[in-house]
Amino acid sequence: MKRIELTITALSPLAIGRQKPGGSINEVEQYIPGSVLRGAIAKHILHRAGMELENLAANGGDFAHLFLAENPAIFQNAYPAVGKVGSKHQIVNNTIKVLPATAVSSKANPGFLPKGHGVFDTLIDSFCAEQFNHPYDPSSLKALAEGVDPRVEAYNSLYSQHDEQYCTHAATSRLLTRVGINRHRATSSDDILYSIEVLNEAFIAANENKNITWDNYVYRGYINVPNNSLAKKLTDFINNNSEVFRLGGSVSRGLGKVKITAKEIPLANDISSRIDAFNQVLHKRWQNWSDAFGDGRSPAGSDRTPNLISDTFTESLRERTFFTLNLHSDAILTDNWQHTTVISPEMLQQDAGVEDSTLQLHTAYSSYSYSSGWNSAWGLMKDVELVTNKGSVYLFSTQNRQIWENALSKLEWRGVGDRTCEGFGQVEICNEFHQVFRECAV
Amino acid sequence: MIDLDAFLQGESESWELTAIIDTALCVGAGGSSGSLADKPIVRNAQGQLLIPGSQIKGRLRHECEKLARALGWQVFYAPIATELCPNHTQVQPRFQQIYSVPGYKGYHCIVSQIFGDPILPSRLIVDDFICPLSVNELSEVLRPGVTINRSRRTAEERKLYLLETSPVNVQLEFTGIIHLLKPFTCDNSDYAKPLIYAALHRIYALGGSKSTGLGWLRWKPLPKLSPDDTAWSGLFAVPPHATNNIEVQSVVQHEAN
Repeated sequence: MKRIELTITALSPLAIGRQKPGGSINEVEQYIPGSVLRGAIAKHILHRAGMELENLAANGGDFAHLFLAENPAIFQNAYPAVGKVGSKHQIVNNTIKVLPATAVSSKANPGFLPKGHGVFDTLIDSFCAEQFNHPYDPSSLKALAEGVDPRVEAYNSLYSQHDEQYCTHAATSRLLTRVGINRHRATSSDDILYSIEVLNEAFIAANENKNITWDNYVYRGYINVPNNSLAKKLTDFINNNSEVFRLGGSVSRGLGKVKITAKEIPLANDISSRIDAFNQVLHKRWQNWSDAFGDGRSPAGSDRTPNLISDTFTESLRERTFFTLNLHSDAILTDNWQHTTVISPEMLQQDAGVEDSTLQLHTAYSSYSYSSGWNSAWGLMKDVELVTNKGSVYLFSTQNRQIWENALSKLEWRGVGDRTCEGFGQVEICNEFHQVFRECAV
Repeated sequence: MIDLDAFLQGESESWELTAIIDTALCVGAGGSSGSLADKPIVRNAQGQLLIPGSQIKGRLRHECEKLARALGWQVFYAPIATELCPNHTQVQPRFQQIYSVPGYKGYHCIVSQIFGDPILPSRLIVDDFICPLSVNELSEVLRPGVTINRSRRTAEERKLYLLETSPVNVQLEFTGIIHLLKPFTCDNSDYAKPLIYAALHRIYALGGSKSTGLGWLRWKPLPKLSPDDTAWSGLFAVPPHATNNIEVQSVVQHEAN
């Protein structure tokens, strides 16, 4: 198994459409979906081989292994690597992640410190509060200190850590307006005026004394290839054809020009330490809540029904191992042939190939959207799918940690749900942002 | 059987072209912002002036259509999608075989096989042509215009407009690349290169208000084919049963020179 890191430099605007049912505007995605990367690379390989119209499932060689095999290469989304560090934008080399749905920030001045009021995570605190039968309504400490509205709301963004500082990542877009020409009159034609929303190809890297320095937008994505020699071949192929790939729509009209460079990188193998760190923090936080609110029983004189889970939770806490599943891309989840937005314990066991009767889903934070697209190979529109949004968080616990570590590692490699080879369903176990609490917002 | 190691180097053909604008250029569209002009000039994200690849490609197609039609080919009209997808009865019998592309239903004329149509993807990829000067080096030029009432021969009411153009007579250079991908079939001769070369020689102006003196250009030396190139001869020799009375050889050689 090998992981290939792709660095995609935009050389012209990117028109990566996001078709939604009922919409009349051709919106643009704010990142490069894995399906677009996969389609572009597959199309170029087929074009070079001159075998665009043949059935390659039986004897397709490297192409069949990469795209048609039972365990194909997995093309993950490429997220913008341009981060806002302080007041400047710059290309950041660290891993770009999706903030969990449990991350919140002040409504008055949202964003990471020092410019915003800071962002913090609520997963562990809300979980503890629920077990202790307490309402959980967090507020922003910095907003309180400044005497402004302390209410918080969900903060959705891409982020990375740069020099111990968190920064947001985003791509900017603009509208291009085009007009069709009437060939007979050589003037603009009736009814052919249209606008395409595109991702910008450049950003201001420095602005000093009216001397503006521009830099091209860079996106970073990954390809997981199950076969080592195939990964080497694919890396060489991409590097040898780095400037011929075109991404998105309207490519024959100047849009979508990119330069892609590929590099093999080592596989991350730190799931065990991530689970350890998450559980240590959860235990410590639980202890703080326990010190403040007792053993989880209902307050004296209260007529509320005691929470049976919290009654037994303190005792069983040390026996259970908690872990989270964080969606790093939209996921297509189905349960009994029906779309869903929750990964149930049964679904997780099936996806991971593990049988564990002690697995328990404690909480799920998820929302949904719709996704479609265009399949160039078919020449047809893709089905409209209900997708679970990236950033969704699922908190599980188990008493059999040893059988899960390896399975979760494979799950991180492969993803959950359907169409994982197109980048859907990429997960991370125990995102470190869950350890950022209200009093130490970043 | 596909082996990735077998094709490590690129196969598409590319030509870097430079257009020198002799007058002012006016390439604009509604919807742009940041200018007082009614028709602001189009720029890239850095604010540099550009000629969109869509315009170069559309203009090239237009010229190729004219040339091909003059050479006796049946050409389907772009950009009308319905006319680009003719049925069996609309295609002249002598072209039906040549205009069939294996794997793609329908008929695709000689120009559609280069520039694409609703069914066939384009072989030609045209980048935006960009003027490398930064936005600070070029002052904003607004050209006022007024419509005349033909009856009274005075200015029409509420018909004063402003066009944004590039600076006048500064010989701005716009550079871009045109890529030509492999043909869909290996059976017939590839007429793309001679057609595109000839078409490039026929582009004298780009953008709006050409008839009022804007957008006139010349090219830095363009690529040429030798007059005895087989593609040239193929271009006017095909179709085999065509009976056109045009002196195609002289036309083509004139374009080559």
